[in-house]
Amino acid sequence: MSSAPYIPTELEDEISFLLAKSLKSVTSGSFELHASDKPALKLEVIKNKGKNKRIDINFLEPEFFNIDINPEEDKVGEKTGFFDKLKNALDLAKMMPDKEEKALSFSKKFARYLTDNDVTLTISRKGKEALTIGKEAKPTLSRLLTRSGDVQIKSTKETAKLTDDVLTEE
Amino acid sequence: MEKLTGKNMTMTYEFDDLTIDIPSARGPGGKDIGGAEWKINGKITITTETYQKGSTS
Repeated sequence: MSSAPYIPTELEDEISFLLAKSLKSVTSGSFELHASDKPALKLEVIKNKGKNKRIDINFLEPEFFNIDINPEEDKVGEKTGFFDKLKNALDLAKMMPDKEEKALSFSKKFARYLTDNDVTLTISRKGKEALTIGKEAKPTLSRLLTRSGDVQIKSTKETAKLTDDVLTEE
Repeated sequence: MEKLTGKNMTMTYEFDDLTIDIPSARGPGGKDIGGAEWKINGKITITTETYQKGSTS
């Protein structure tokens, strides 16, 4: 059983809100991260019609962004970084016993805030689109899986691979 | 994440006209603090390497 610290729902709400607002603030351009001369991540901002904006994030080397969700690590010391907060929020969502509460977990709140801010986030793994979150997400069958109108799973295969790459439990 | 800051690594952060819109806000005493537009261009490279501590040359 996970021993993740308790995070109040308001804090989870605040993190997802601030993250969505930060993405709204990025208006154009691109960013690339290279690890030992190998491209690891590419972020590109594409302006659509009107206020709408699309941000493409491509995890070219997803293993570099691995978040260890081994609860033993929590005992080493208190972590306050962004990824630790994100991990804790995800852990909390996993600990929730009530399925209805799970449906309102971090990712769905974040997706809702993206839609509210006219932002669409597309997440790709090694150039293959896995997810569309926010304004332009058009979930059909994926609504059954995510129970959200703001999250569209473009490829279940790539989404599963990306989850495995980024969130691992040793 | 350790891989991002690990030993013997070179991390390059490359920005290409990345524009960030900083919204205006209310400061102390209700003072209006104007917004700004930040444009980031360029490259930051961080290299880490291991070395033998206390070795004599």
